Amino acid sequence: MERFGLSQPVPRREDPRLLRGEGCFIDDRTPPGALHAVVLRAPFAHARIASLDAAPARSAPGVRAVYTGADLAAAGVAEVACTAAPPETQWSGIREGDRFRERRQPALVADRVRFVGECVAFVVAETRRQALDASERIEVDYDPLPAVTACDEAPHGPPVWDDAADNVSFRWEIGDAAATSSAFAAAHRIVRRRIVNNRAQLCPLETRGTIAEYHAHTNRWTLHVPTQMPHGVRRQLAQVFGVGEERFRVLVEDVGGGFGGKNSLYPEQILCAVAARDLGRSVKWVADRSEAFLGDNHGRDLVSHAELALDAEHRVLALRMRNFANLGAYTASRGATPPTLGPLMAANTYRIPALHVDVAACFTHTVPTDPYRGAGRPEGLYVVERLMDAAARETGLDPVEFRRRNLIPPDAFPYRSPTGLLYDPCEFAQVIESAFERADAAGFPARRAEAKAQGRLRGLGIANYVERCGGGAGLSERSDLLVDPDGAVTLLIGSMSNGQGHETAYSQILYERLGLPFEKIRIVQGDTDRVASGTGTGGSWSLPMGGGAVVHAVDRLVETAKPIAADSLEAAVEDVEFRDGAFRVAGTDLAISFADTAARAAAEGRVRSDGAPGLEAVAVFEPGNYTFPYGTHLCEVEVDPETGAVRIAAYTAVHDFGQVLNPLLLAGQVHGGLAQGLGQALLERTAYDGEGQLLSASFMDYCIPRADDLPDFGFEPWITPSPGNPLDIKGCGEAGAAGSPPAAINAVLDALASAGVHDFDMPATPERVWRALRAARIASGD
Amino acid sequence: MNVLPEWELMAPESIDEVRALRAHHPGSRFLGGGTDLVVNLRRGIGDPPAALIDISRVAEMKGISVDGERLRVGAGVTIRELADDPRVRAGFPGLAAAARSIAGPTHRHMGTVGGNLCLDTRCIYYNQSEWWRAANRYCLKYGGEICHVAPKSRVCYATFSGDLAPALAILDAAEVEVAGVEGARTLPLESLHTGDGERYLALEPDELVVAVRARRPAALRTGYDKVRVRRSIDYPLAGVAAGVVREGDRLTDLRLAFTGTNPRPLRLRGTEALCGGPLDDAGMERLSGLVRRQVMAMRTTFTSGHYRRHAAGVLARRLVRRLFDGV
Amino acid sequence: MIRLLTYRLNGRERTDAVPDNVLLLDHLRETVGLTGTKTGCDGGECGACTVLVDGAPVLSCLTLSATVAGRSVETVESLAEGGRLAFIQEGFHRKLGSQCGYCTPGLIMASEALLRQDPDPSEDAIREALGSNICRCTGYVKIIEAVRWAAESSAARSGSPAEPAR
Repeated sequence: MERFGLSQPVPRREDPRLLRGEGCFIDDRTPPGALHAVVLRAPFAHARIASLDAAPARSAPGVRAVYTGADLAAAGVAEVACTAAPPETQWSGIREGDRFRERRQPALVADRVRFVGECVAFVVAETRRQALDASERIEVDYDPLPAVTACDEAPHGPPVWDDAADNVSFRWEIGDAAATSSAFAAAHRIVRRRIVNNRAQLCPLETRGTIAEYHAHTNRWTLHVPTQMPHGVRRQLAQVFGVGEERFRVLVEDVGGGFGGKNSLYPEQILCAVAARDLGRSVKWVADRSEAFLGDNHGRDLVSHAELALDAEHRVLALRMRNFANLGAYTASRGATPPTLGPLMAANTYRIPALHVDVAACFTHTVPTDPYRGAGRPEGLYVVERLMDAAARETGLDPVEFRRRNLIPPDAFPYRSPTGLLYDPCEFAQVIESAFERADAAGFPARRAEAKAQGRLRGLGIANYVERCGGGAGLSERSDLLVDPDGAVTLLIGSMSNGQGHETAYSQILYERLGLPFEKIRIVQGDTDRVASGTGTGGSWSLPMGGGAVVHAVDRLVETAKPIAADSLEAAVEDVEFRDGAFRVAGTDLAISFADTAARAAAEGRVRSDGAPGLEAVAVFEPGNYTFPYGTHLCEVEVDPETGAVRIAAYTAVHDFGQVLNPLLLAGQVHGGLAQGLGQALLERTAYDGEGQLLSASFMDYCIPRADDLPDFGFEPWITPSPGNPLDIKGCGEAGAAGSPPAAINAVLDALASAGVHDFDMPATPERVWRALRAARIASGD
Repeated sequence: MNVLPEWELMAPESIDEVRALRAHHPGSRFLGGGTDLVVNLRRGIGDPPAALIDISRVAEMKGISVDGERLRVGAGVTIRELADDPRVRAGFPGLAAAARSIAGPTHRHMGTVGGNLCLDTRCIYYNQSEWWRAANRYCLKYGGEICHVAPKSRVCYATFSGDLAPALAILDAAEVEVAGVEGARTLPLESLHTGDGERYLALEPDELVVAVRARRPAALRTGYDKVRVRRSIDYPLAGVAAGVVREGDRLTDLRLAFTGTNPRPLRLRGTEALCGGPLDDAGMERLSGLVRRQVMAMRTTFTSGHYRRHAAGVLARRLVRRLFDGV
Repeated sequence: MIRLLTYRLNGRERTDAVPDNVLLLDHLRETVGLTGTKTGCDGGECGACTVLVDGAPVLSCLTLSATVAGRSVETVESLAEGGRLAFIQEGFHRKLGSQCGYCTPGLIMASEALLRQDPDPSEDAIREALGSNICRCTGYVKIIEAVRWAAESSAARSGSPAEPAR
């Protein structure tokens, strides 16, 4: 019974089909008679469209339609609205005198191009070849304009929007400016750094695509989209088309990775829907890899001018940041989230009495940015952990000891951070100790000396982190359980797995709580017609929130079924309990299985809301508070000082994610996040030329890690309960990506410190490390 | 479905058949493993050929023969076959190491020796999709008039990045056997690459490298190393092949060749001046000087030419030291 | 130019009419209907399209269909036999070698090719053998564990009917 329950390393239910190559990804099927679409993209980062003649394309062989920006405007298709405005809370909000300048992305640009790759025209034809040929016949005359791509240059660069001349979308702050100023005025020492979080390209292996169908007889669309947020996309489609949500069915099958990049509604999805309605046939579009590089929303891209005020005992008095966040050319659906969510965690695991973060979210001539694994929290964390290390070095204290002195002490929990978060109890100090032991940090000096003897520089870097996951007050997730007469259960839930293994995780919960074998459990995600509502998958939400909703639904189901069982057992309802998969009369041998109870319910004429016989239960989980997973990362690197090559010698992470629902799934999430964070830290560089052309537009030029670039990961869970969550779980999807960049760069800086390098920006490619060493040598007069 | 130009694909089994097909289809191109050519054809780089001649079944292009110090490798031999051949590993370790380091393992199963010797030169302005290159007004190497790396240049600076060429270049009498429609010829390996990034091979369009030959001086210790951003798949930022002869405590022969830097593989000149005595710091300094003066890398990759030249020097010194010390 | 292409696919002889300019990847996915092999990039950069030709791993996105004439092609769909996963698939299953599943067929085929060549590969050998493939979800550690599991299990039960189909 226990093998498939909670905390077991249950292999995934999803695997057999995926491992056999029987997954159904968007490009794996083409409805009979489908039309094929191709997008014509803008070749300039900034340009006026002087003229556009689509007529030659319209008359090309096999072409059924060609759309331009003007066509969409005439058809009343609106631009995509931001679904998450900068938050206004007691501790944070738009700066006085400023406002949120939202700039919505159109599906096709009509008059002015604002990033390379922006969609200019959409060609629909019988075959893809015909669509491509036709797209080449479209004549567009562009007047190129100067462009700016770097966010801290944006305020002085050419305006992306004429009515926002300083290229600022919004200025937002969090914390107490006055208290922070006073603390800085009284500081014994101030440590300052300009810290850059490099722009990232998410690169899920499956590119985006869509198949749109329009059903004239019901006046509804079906959109097949590999998205992480089916209900969110439905809502956005409704907004763009100006109709009710019920007009759309969003269907999702297998999704080949998302990481945040498949959260939002994209232009091509809208365009497929328009064409499907106009032409009365399915329309299919799939991006090729270079289109994915150009058109997928990017992530990260933050410049922070950060300062730490210290007293004479190495204690942090205050933290201040002035951040420039790169939104890209438009305010993407959730583009305002990363710049405002990161500073929320700015105090990290430390007791920082006063804090103030000032954010300028800027427009540049680049593709919009949207959440990427961590949605701003990794960016915020990176600044703090780099700053803590810098402060330690400047004051001559060991970086770990410096952190220990500033940790939120155990007796301070529940702890109210200066940004308004209420942290659950965390065992920061113990986790640091555990990580140290596991990483054999005590043996590091000897390893460093040995490396030095062989001409290599070895460094050890630490990053502590805590993040806010799941949902807080006002947020909820719903789950529906439908029971068949034979006791089989279907779970309808609005999360959307894109590799996390939800089918397995939810099955484990149902197995444990209802005693059902997996064969009797069906999990349905990804169908907005069957699943009433959902938040999708992102922000380490699905298991804390979805799992919580499932538990509540099970409780409801048991309550609903109990009277039927009691009746059958001829006992009073109060005397009946549900245990080990059956309803039992307390103190006796009398029992009726869950399946038999369900059969009886159906026999008695019980009918579900979908009209089928059987039982059902619906629950909405509203947690009182977010969850706070936390951990410590230790990264050990070796640098070849002559070539600048960095090798990760070892990596250790100890994390408290609460109860471990499935250690296999958990490790998978952590490893995957680590790989992305280490890729960002050491290898990945998004590069633009002076005219805003994206140079890093292939897997050869944008270097995501391969198997021999990464070490074995030493990950260990640290388990304490999560008070706000029925399963005691905290959420684990983002931790790896958050902790690894600062741990890695702190390690690189530790390695390079003896060579006089005291500051460094990601990525630590061989050339960049070599240049830093060289500059230090020159500066010291060697 | 990927959209590719319509061509005819032919699979001859002998050189004579190749010649006849090539004569019959002017403008046809030779297809080995496809790891270079098909990538470029898919991206619309290069005029679409009306025909492709698949050389993977040509018997005379297969086979590795080692006769004492003499090596002959058919141009149709795969990289993996070359890397795994025990005779090559034993007698020509630098060449085996170079082969082992190429791309990734699956690529090595597909790619051929001939393909690597004739690897198209590379540049960030060239190795992009058709759309990207059109958006950037194409470049001098293909479709345009300006070298984006050196706008005032009339010459293309695209970089040669094949790993086998330098490993062979440091051997004696390295030459390639070439078959063309009119007949056959042999040319020294050092003449195969022109140094012009655009017309980078000294071959007529109808000519095909059929085999490569070289001779290893008996006491020559050889090795190969390269620097790249990641540990596999990436083209070299700099690759170095070295050959060293040590007699007692003296360095009596030193050969070095580089790839990933210049528009052609570069055999370092002037290394004889370092020979005759022990391999000391002064010698290493002189070596670094030779590298600095002869290795030239333009900004054809994200990594600056400056760094690549520096890395080439570091690799060269280390490799030479390692070979000299017999480690 | 369309020709009749005769080859062996997943153990069975086949003849298809195939244009000379069709990639093996597209032929398998769209003509034959085996969609397990994936497109992940624009050519040669990600390994998601890996299949075996005469037992050797190749990138089907850089292979012209016509060049497999007379050869044997194996895709991921050939490995499981009679409803039973092959060792390498079972390894991926037990160790969580797959998350989103998109790169998985290519990685499985590259791993399968390795194990046929080297039935007892070291961790370093496995990392190297996967160098032509990209995975964005797993960080590779669990994939390496999966290949090791397959190597050990296969050795422990060599000759059993669960051997991968040839």
